[in-house]
Amino acid sequence: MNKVLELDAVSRNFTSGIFRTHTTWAVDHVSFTLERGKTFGLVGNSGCGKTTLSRIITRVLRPTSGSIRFEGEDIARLDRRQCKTYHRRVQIIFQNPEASLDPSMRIRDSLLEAMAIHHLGESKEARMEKIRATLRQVGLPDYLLSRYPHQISGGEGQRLVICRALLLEPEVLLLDEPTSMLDVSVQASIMNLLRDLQQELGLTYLYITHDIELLGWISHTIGVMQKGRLVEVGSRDQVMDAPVHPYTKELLYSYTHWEGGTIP
Amino acid sequence: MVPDIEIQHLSVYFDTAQGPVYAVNDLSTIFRAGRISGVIGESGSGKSVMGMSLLRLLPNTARVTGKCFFGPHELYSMPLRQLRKLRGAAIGLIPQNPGTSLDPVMKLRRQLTEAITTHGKRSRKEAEAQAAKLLQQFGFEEPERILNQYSFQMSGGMNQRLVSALGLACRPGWVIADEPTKGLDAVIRNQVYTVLRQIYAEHHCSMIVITHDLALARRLCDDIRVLYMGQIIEQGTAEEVMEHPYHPYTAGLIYSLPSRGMVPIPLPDPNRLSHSGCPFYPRCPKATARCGKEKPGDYLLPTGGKVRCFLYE
Repeated sequence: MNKVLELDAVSRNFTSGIFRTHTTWAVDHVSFTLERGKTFGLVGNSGCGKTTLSRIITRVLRPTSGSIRFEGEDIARLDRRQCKTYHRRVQIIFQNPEASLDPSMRIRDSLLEAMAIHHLGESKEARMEKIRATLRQVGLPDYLLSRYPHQISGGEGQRLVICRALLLEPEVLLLDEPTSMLDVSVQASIMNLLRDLQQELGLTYLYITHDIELLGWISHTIGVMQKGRLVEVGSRDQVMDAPVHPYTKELLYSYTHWEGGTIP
Repeated sequence: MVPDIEIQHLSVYFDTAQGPVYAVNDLSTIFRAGRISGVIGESGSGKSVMGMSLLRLLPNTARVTGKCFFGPHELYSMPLRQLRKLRGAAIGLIPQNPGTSLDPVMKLRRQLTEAITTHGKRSRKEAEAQAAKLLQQFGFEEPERILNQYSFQMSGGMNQRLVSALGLACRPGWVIADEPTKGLDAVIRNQVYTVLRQIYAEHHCSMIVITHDLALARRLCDDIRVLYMGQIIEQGTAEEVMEHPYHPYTAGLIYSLPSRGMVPIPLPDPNRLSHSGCPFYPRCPKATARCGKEKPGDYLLPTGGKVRCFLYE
């Protein structure tokens, strides 16, 4: 099966106010498909609904309408057990690694806990063995295991969060701005790591960011979101080199042209 | 006449259980008036600490040696009362994290007028009129409405423009902008760039722009200083530094940009960690045995820039 995750007309609104209700469509009829082993890049500016969409996919939020199928199964209809498996197989990496790790837990315990929750590994020994192997895979030294999150750097933190996700043997990684807090040199090393891991493990990525240049480097397919709507979807080359929608053109333009910045 | 800012052998360090940690290490440079000087480097390179030390806004735990001159005045031997007259009036600050730099329980009106009345003897009415005018310059079409709101009601880009307006409220001759584009998307980043350009063009401000956004530095600045572990390792015009980097670290930084190939700088070589030479030695792809033993000096480049690397001795 080549289609891992299929989104079909997913929408979500938020209402505010009591007397005069105001409805905002954060995500408005978004449909796309994640293909196994490939990267789908989702780009859009702040407030366009990218993060709401990732919350819907992780089942943190329910869609107002529309459906998401994971390997053909509607994720809204999963029972408790299936749901837990879904959460193991679809992992999410957030922007801020420090906020993703419990500050009062040593790194070792944070990593062990994730495996224990999903009953992976026969014994603690077997789990530790796996943790050491995965640490090597993401390029981290063993001595970090006894550290606390505040004692490590941002780049190491993001590698650790990726390591924790990999321990659960996921198929899909949702990457929500994983490098926007990092320096360019660290960003380059994380992006290279992600590309290598995809080749080794056949992972499927949904990469969410506002940086269209980054997407051009990592994506196979790019979707452009504006105000909750998916305004353009196409292969990397088509979107980067021959954009059709005016908003895509504007996004690409604002990366290469500086003087054009107007104040609204 | 706006004076230059000169730093002489400035070191800023923090005492820790493992001994002193240097954020800024024996740094000397002159920021020329009338120019936009960029300071680039990774997080932890000491660029923000250097910027804050120019206003003596460091935490109490920081220990400072060396001198900072603002024209004839030495900032560290100046009484605090006199320094306060310089802060905001002569050297403005556009701080990092605009969202947290504004007071969430104070209306923007009060924050902006306060900045104006602190330094000039103006009535509240005059100050308010000036604040409204200032907001208009920064692209707010309805300043009266904005003045009645709070910072949390603004978007990230609006807050960035607000702190920029605050920093410039007293029309200082110098402005220190600390990471003005951190975490902003391309469209808002362009707005900020336009605002800073506008400030420079209309107020004839001299600027120090501290950033890790290399593309912004290239576009905005006249010259660039590259900071690594609290030292300036390369310095030159923006074009020279970004298009023909000399120092291996600067080159590494530039080639890790997505548009320049996304090649990461190598991680430190564990065998090279204990050394007494160049700070970049453990990660340098071009290091020789000498780099681990001696500290390179500043070598002048034919283009007029300076680089701290034995390759250009």
